[in-house]
Amino acid sequence: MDEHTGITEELAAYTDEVLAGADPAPPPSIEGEARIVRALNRLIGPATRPDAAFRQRLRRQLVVQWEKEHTAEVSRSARGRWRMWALVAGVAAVMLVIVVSTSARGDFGADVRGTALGAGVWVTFLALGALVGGVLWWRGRRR
Amino acid sequence: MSTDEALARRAQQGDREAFLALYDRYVDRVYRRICSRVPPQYAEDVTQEVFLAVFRSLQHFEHHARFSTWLYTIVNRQIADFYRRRTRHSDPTAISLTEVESELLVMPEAHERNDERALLQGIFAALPEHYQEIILMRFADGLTFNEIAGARGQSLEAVKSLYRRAIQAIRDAIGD
Repeated sequence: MDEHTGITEELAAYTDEVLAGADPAPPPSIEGEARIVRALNRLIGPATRPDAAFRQRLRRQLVVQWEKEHTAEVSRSARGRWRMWALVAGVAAVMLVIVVSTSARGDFGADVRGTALGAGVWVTFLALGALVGGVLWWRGRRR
Repeated sequence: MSTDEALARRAQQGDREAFLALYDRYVDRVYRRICSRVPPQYAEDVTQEVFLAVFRSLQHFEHHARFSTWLYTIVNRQIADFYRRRTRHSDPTAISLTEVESELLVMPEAHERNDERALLQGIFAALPEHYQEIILMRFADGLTFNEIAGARGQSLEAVKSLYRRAIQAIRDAIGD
């Protein structure tokens, strides 16, 4: 058993009372320690609190920081989505132009029968499709 | 009531109210911990730095540690930064001094005016870390001895005994 058990218990009880806001007379055996307890209570006890105006000001500052950060995040992601749709629309437009121009010459579909020019149209389609697929896959991995 | 860790997780997922709940829960404790080491006129500035640092690094909080442990690490880092900045401005050659000596160097009032607060802060900073921590848990965090025992995984008797030794160490240092 700790030889200081009596003092230990008295000091703990005295500290509890001081921190609860009381001002008890310390037992003679812990007078020196009691002075330290009272000094610590003045330094960092429950009555030591930041000013209410400061608390509110800092809270508002954190809200502003939070909004700034999250607005930036949302706008980054919206910008990314817009770029993606622009790419898809561009590719679709190129495909449409190819289809329309080859149909106007009346040879769309002849490609499957093996002419060099017709095969080129399908190769272009495949390349564009692969490009879009590749970009989508790459963006998915980045997220 | 949500645990600190649950609030931290929600804050990491973008819940602003969870972050503010953590702020409301900890602002007084953080301020008091800072007051244990920093002159009162700078305590609000350092408190502000702490919460801005928490905001910036919240995504790095990993849930295998207690939120309070992580937060108090940031508090200690910001206090050290505060003294580094002050030491740099007051005497560039003092950089090799120990942290405690540096604190006394930038707080000459501890000697000159025999100011109780500054003297106590200087002595407190020189205490072994486990003594500092038990005093902070009881005074600054407002935990009961029972709660401290639970948090530290020690018996109530061991915690009270450690507390007595910490108080007596301060008394010895003051030369009372």
